[in-house]
Amino acid sequence: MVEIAQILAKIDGVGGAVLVAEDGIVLAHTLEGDPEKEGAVAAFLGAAATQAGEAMNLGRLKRAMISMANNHIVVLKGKEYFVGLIIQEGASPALIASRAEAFLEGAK
Amino acid sequence: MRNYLEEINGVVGVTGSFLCRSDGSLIDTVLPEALSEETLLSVSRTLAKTLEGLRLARHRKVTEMDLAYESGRLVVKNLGETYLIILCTPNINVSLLNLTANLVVKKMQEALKASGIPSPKAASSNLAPQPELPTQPVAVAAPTVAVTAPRPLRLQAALDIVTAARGSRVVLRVMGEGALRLRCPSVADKPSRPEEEDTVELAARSGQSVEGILKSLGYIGDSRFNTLFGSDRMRFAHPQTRVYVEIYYDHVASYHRLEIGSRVHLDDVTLPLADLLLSQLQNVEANEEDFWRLAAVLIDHDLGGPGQPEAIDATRVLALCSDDWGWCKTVTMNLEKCLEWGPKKVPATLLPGFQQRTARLHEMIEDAPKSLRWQTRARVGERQRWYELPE
Repeated sequence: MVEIAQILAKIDGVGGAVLVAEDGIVLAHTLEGDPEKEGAVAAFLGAAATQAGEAMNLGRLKRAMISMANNHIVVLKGKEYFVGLIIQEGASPALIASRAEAFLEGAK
Repeated sequence: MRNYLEEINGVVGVTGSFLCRSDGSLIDTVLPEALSEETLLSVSRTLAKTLEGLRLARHRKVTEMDLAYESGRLVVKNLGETYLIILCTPNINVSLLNLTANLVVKKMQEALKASGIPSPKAASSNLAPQPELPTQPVAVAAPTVAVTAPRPLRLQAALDIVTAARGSRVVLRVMGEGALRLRCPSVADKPSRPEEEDTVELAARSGQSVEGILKSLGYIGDSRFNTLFGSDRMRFAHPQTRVYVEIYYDHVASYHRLEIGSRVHLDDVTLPLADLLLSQLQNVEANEEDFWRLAAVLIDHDLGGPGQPEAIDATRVLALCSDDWGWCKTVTMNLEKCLEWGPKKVPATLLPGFQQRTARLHEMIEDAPKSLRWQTRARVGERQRWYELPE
């Protein structure tokens, strides 16, 4: 788990990565701030996005992204956990999400 | 709003769109017929709650949310008091969508401003506002130290230690059953448990040396226990009076962990009433005696806010229960049990006040906005144990 977080954090433009179980327990992280808080955001967003997708029959959640002014957070669904990626200012969330997805596919 | 939604639906890859208020209620929809209103309401409520939850967690407004699924995509734009939700195909060109959508959003915002939507809630938050706290206690039954003389030996010992500590500029406060006896007349005539009869429990902040104070009063430390656990707890005994003293540093860990380090100095002799109440409310396996203790706090003291030493600071209870689902679950469960237990046990003259305070506290906890951490844990619910099993 720690290794996955470290590899994801090395993607260009990623400020930090957190792996969190669906109940909000932080499994691994590379964050300097409050991993519990970022983990809660990832688990909360991941769970809500899954619920909305199920209600509308949109299939499996691939990723969720939120934007707050110039800050972005990307949440991806991993194997039995959510991955939260803090995106650095100016970086492309779409590009990062795509690279992280490719890595997670390989990690499954 | 329909014409704006249709304009957005004209973008290649958009299959429908709808507009909802911040409470999740629908304003207008232009969507494929296969989606029922019930489904849309469920989705809009989920997304509205998510945006509000994220705003509370990050202290920042989430301007946009983009959710990608295997067979579709949801793009949510936050218009302030309303949300625009766009349903798209999975491979939509989001940049192209944004070119149109951002223009339409501006027009929508102007139109919404002119029309006065949103109602019915007319509020920017879908969460209930913080309940108003009573500013004055209605009936204050007890002075700070309520027990009349002669005090039992251990309570007098507790007061002596607190006084001696004050003289040494060390903050020690009585907690546990002894504190309830000092603050709540309703529990004064109830027998103590045998294991509590000779014990004084005191709260302290870490880093404060209490050994010298207790030694000066004739107490001897339990050197083995204090060496092993001294950073969290210390034990002393008086060889003549046979009073045992237990010091808790910064927290009390039982079914739940109660942080008390920053609360120790707030009242003169004991921990604040809110913390005494919480230390009773955290008991997942409360029995008859525990309910009496819990009830005594609510019988003898009204709900109030910070800075009212003779009232229970409801903000303390709300802050804990709004952030920690486990605490919230146990506290509300015990308040509900109290409401069932009260009519059978509490004297008729005291019952209305007790019931009113208990129900009010329960209602305040239910209505208070909850943290993201709380909401995340709530999704797991009772499937996972929400409390620790005390030693």
